Amino acid sequence: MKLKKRAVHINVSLNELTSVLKRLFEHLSDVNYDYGAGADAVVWLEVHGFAGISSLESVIEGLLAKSHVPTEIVSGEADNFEINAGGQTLFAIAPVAIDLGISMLSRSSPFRISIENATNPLALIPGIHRVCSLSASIVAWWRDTEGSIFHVVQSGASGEYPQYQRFKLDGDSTHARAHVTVVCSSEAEDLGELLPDTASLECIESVTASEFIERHAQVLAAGIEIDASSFNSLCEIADQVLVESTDTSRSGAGE
Amino acid sequence: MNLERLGRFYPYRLSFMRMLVRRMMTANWKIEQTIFDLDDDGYGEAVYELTASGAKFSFVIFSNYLDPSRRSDRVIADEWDMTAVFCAGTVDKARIKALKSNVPLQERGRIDAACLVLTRANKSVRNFEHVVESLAAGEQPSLSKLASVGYLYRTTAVYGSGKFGMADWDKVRTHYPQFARPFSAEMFACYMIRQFSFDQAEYLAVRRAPDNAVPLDNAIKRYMGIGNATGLGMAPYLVNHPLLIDRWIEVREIALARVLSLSQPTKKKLARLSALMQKAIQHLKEIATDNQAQNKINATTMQEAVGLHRWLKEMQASLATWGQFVDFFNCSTSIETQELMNTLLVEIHPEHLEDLEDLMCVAERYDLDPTMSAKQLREIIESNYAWALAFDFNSAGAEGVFWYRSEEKMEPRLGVRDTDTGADREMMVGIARSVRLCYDALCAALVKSNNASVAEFIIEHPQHRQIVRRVQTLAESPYGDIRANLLDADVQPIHLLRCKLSFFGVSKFDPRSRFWVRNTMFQGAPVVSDIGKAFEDDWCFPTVPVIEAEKKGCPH
Repeated sequence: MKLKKRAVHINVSLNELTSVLKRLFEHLSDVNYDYGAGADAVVWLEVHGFAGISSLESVIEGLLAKSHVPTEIVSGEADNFEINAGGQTLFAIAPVAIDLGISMLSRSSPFRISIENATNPLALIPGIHRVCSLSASIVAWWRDTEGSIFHVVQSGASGEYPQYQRFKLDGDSTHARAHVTVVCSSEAEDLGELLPDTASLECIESVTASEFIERHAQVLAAGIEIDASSFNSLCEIADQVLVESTDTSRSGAGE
Repeated sequence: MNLERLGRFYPYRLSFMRMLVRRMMTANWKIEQTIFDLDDDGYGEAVYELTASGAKFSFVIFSNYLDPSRRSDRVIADEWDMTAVFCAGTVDKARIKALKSNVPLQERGRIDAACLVLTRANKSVRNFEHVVESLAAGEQPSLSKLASVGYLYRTTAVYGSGKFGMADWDKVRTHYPQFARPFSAEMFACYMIRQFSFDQAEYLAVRRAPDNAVPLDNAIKRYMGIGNATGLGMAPYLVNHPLLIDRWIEVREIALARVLSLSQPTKKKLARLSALMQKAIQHLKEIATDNQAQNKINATTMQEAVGLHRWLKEMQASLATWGQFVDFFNCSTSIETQELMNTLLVEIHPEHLEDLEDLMCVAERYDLDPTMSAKQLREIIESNYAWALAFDFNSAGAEGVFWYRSEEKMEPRLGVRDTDTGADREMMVGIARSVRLCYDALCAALVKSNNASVAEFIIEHPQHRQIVRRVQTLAESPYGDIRANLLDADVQPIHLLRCKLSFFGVSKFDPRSRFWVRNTMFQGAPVVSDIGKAFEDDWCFPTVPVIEAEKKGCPH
């Protein structure tokens, strides 16, 4: 009889996970990108129940194999931009895209950004949370890769946490585009009008601001439980930024 | 934020150790030894239980044999005389067993979110043995021998803030208000190592000579601190926590500004300052270091302090404001003396400081403002980072070193560029250079498009996003950045170490090189048995005590 191997879990702190991921992104980005923001996004997702580590793992091989691809604005109008992410993860693109959308509000509100050819759209949620304290309102939506789930995230009225919903899609849904849409507005009241029509869809998950706060509090108290082999794999990549030790290098710390 | 001035800071009344001890003494914390299970050589386990504001905590110690050849202060060591953990709640046998299988491993072990601090320490072998031998012989140890070192144990690492699975700082801050100030739990762990060092020495003396041994005199205990060795790791910390550093320096500046604007040099204050100056001079006289540069600095400081003491005496009748005194020493003494006098002025005015104690925390978060125009960003850099733009990075040695993390426990080290391996993995410590690169790209971008926003600049130059959000966030934080080129071949990291250590509250800086420094923590502080007794809070600038036996003329 073949015994199924049980996964071993370890508890890590937020700070510990963030530090590992910062080093990991530092290694991946070749210092060409804001590794602190990438790490924060993964940790945010993991802490708030969105499997940030699995999301990162799903793209890690691609990240290790590829060099940095510049984010390209392929078309631009007075009230919208279309960005080609070149197959990159939104862990890298989301902060930049959201920054761009908010900055364009001085020229046109609402302002729409379509992001083509990007992975990990969930990474938009921490990006939106980051700007909840600003006066702008944001809503983003996308279909997952299987095409059966429709995701909507909008900045919270409280200014603290965004609100997130998942809907089940019918086969003949009109929400069929594979891209991610981000709409920013300088008026909070506009948000309702900006939201996609989900009235006919079955909502299968809704996370409110208070639930996000509760999830964060739980993790803060007990730490994050993650698969030990996943954590070790991430550490191995992160450790690539470490420099081999020699007798000479030991003297570079004092003695 | 001049690097040399930072490197002259002294511990002061709002340093973290001072605040911790004040809290312990005024809130009547109760510290009890609940387990002291050591063998004849002093190896085994000990637990101290703390009751503070109704909550219980435990300091759990594992004392081990350490082969002398394995003794090292470096973070890369992997064996120690003692290892310890400070955790929330009480501990039972099962908990101690679980901790015992991890705590002695330090970085190689895993602990949990109920733990606040993981630490280790090594004996000062000569001092420790001398104390045990003396006590076993029924005598007090020689103060002159003890004074040259000042401690029985020295810590070589004190970890907190979520390392190795421990509680995150946000948890410590929100769940344990007793330790909701920066490094408060870490400082408490060091304080408890100090207590253990006395208890272990006394225990061993009794084991060696049950009928003859005497306890260590309390005055000597107070004089003995806990040693510490600090290396390069603290330097990147300062660079990576600019908002926190800004706050610490700002509070220090506020304290001094309040003294200057709200107080006058009354007779009482002048007398207190005079006494404190004499104590500080004696303290400096007693510092023993092999570092010739530090000895010279200490000698100059003593000499200048003596001169200022004389000046104050002559001027006391006509001195109308503290500002006159400050103006005088600022133009007549060295930076070290100036900082010593600033420290003393704050020390004698506790009435202006109380509300500042809870201002030492700040959330370290850098937000990018994408709506800012690129032009405005350029103006901020030109106005706030003129110091950084003034460096010529094409000149010889301007990028002479690089900072990196070694694979050995991630120890931060300095490498020589173009000679040592690792420049391709250097840490982002060279803020001045990053600002320069960003500024050059920004100017070029503005030539192309004069109306660009920061967001548009970043989308073209994502490599500058990190430094841009730092620059924007620190726009209103004048003390956040260390105004030096930390990549210069002649960089003096020792200044950074001393700056941070002064906020911790350590004294007796003994630089061992430009990369690391030995120092003493809690020297002069009350001991556990003093809690509950009258407390003067005047343990700064500790000096060798006069104990009863000496008063009677007994030789040591």
